[in-house]
Amino acid sequence: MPLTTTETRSRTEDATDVPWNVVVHNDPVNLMSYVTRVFQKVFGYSQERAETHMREVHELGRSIVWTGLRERAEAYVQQLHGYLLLATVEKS
Amino acid sequence: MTLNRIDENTIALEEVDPFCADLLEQIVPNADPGDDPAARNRIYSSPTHGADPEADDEWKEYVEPELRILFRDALEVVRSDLENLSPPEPALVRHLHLPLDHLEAWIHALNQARLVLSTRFQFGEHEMERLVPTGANDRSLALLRVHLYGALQEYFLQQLD
Repeated sequence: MPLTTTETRSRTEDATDVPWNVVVHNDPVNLMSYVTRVFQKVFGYSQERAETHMREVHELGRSIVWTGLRERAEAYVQQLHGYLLLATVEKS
Repeated sequence: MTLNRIDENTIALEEVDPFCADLLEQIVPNADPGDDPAARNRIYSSPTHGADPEADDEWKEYVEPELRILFRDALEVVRSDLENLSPPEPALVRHLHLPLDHLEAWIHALNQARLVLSTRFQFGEHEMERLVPTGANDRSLALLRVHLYGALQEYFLQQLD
């Protein structure tokens, strides 16, 4: 079962070795106060840190809001989609 | 329409005139992307925006159904609350009391309705900044709705601070 072994190794390497970014993209519809609140709720960020990311999204078009293991990054993206934010996961 | 926090756990929507009653009753229908591919893609956006098709496919199969349930449940709370909107007779002006613990669902529904409307009518950033829509066509009314839903959403967010 070499294919399975390779696939397993690849997934493990993805999960442990490479940091992944959670990126939130700009959306002219979502309210700034709403985006700030979502960052606080999902990541437990302070008001100040959440606002910094919100402004980055608004002014630069995107913000890396979290970096770490792929599995956790995907879980965060799922939560952000639950709040209807445009969020993606990408290799750091 | 006026909004008041009448006690620790209740928000009152008072003096709801026919225009605002219709506005409220249109939240759930407006939040439905229907068969509009652009609106559906906005509500169920992919996690890699096409960079990793395999991950996007897995997401569609496993995560999207969970999101559908989450969104459906929020819209159901709003739909059910709106059944308590006082009858339009004998007074045209109606009222509605909302429990504070329903506000998360309302905030979601309002946001979803704004996103679907904005995608359907392709409102750009510049247009979104125009507070007073011009004209009385469908597009202008949709933009007005997006702004009024936004104001309601903002008020509910403040109540949760």
